[in-house]
Amino acid sequence: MLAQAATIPALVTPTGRDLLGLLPELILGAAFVLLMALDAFLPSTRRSWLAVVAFISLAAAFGASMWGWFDSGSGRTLYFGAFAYDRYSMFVNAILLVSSALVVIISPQYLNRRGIHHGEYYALILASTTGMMILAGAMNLMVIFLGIELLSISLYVLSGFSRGDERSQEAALKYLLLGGFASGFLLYGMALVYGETGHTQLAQIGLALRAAQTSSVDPLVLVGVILVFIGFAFKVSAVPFHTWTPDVYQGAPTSVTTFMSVTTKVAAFAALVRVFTYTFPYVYTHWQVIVSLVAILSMLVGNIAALTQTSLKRMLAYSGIAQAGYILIGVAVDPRVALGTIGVLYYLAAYAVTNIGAFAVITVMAGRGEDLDSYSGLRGLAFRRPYVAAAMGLFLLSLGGFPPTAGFFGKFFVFAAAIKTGLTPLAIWGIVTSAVSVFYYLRVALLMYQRPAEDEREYAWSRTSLSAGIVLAATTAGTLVLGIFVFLLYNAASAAQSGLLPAIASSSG
Amino acid sequence: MISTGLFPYMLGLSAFLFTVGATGVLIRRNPLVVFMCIELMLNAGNVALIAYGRFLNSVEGQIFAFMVIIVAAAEVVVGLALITQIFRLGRELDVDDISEMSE
Amino acid sequence: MLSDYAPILVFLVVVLGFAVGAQVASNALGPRRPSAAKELPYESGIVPRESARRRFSVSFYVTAMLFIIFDVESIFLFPWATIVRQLKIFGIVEIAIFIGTLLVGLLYVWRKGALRWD
Repeated sequence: MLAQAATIPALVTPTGRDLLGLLPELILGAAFVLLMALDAFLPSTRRSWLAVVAFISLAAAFGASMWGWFDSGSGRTLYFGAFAYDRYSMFVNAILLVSSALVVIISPQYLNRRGIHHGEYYALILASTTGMMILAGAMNLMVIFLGIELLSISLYVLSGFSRGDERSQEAALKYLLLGGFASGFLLYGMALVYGETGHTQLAQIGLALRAAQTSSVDPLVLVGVILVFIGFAFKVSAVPFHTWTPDVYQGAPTSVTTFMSVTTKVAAFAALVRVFTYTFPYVYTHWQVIVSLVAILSMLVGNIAALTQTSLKRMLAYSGIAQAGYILIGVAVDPRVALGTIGVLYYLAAYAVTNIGAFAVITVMAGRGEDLDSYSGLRGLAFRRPYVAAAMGLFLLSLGGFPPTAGFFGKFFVFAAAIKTGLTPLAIWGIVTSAVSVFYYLRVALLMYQRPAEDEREYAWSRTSLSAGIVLAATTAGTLVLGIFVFLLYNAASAAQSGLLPAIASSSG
Repeated sequence: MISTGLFPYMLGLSAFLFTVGATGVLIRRNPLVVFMCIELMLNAGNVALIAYGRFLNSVEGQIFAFMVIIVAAAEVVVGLALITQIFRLGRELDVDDISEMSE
Repeated sequence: MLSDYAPILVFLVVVLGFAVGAQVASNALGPRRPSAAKELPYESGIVPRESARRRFSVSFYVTAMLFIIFDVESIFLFPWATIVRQLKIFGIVEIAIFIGTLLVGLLYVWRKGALRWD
């Protein structure tokens, strides 16, 4: 018996509304192509122009996202359901664009000092950000896959951006091999989900799962769901899929580490929430255990391993693994409770400002040639650069979750969501491991206020430049504002959550 | 044209390819071979997508496979460029030896 | 509940069993009578003149990589070509943007000197 030829859907073409809704992504995509052309034809003395072009396009995309926030209202889909035009994606876009813009501001100085100021850098940052924004709005398995690969492939190249540096090349190859491995899992999981539900559109997959729930769920769908989760867990560097993180963070140029430590997590978590909490709520009981387990392990392994580090970048890498664990608590809560998603959004925004700040300090303070990476390099910083040291202290307190900083409320909301849904053990585990994390954050903070020993050479910190001042002032202000005027962001996150597509399960409270 | 009776075998083939690829990534040492195993995993996904697309009479699986082919090509190019660069810097190519950074 | 997962277990066992079994069986059952002719890379093919294990110029790799990228990107032209008439003006504009982007990539490669052979 011969199978019939696949039914070909009627031809449809996107409308102006579709293109307009995709404006932020289109701006960045066009700017990426423009930057490549400019880099090929501009003389190498005009490199800093490229940073300016990149910054302007990021600002324009931010403006377009803000317009989209007001225009999208209660949310609708673009491209026949393949892409979301809702406040949730605009909220995530805003975090991503601000983070990328801050990284673009600190980059020229750092890259010049390392002698790796090539024009491709800005093009790759824009390409990666475009991929992240696509991932944040994706409502179709193919679009999710393309978004994740666009962001990853750009980041593989960026990690290896220092071409003559073996450690940078090594970081890039490790990232590529493990990232490709993760993509394999993600793709196979997506293939199974598509095959067993018959759809690639998230909304239709959700409906198919709801219909199947009355009878029984196909085990192959569950295998698919778990494989997709493994793919995402690699991207957010959750234990046990975290092994690449410390090496890649340490080997990559510090400005690249700043960029990827924040933006990859934000984009991947945004998609993770959309796929798991909002598309797979009807198989919640099946994936909840696995997500919780990965969260528990991440909090444990990340915090314990961070205790023993002597490299700042590796310490922040393990700290990032632990933070991924806290954010996963917000994913693991019952999808019917909106506080989980709001907590994730709040945590991501708080983590973005704080972590960019902390990494920006070690980026802009790095001396000529060598990176500022060892703990001893910070000793005595407070006496030479008091404002920078104070800012770094604040970022470390925020990462540790002290009030009144952004980090405290990020943790507060996800723990509250966990307690509200009966996942109290997760919240308690989170509080215990946060207490452990205080040790290593405070250890670094106190180091800056110690005088170096007589025979010890002080690290030759770079002078504080205007660009460094702008970024540190902005991140400091952000860390404090999100820690004091909590309801500014809480209300925005709550508005972003209320219009989140696909709306398959009704959520309350 | 395949008959729908072949569908379980195609799915089995894709699962087999995926297992071979994943095992290869975990046990092989040469980055090039690891890389080939990753490609094998992605292509196992492609086989599954196309088999399902045929089975479900839906064109989405084939479109998805198209996208994956493009992505895999981009990944190969970046990977080969990195491997060549590491080779130029005069390093042995063994994933276990790539450990300039310590714990 | 747990019994739902039984098919997965069976599936895994069969897959692993086949992977291991095929290797073991071919080693155990296959007769081995090695001879010089059988050791050739292409048995019954053209007799090789020299060892293939020698270094190639790195230019080959760069060209090969560029070829892969531009070659594979062009597969999008095939599905487009089958429906270009129905898509009317939209199809022309869309493919122009696509090819234009590729062209910028090619310009970039050319300006960076990756196409120079020496």
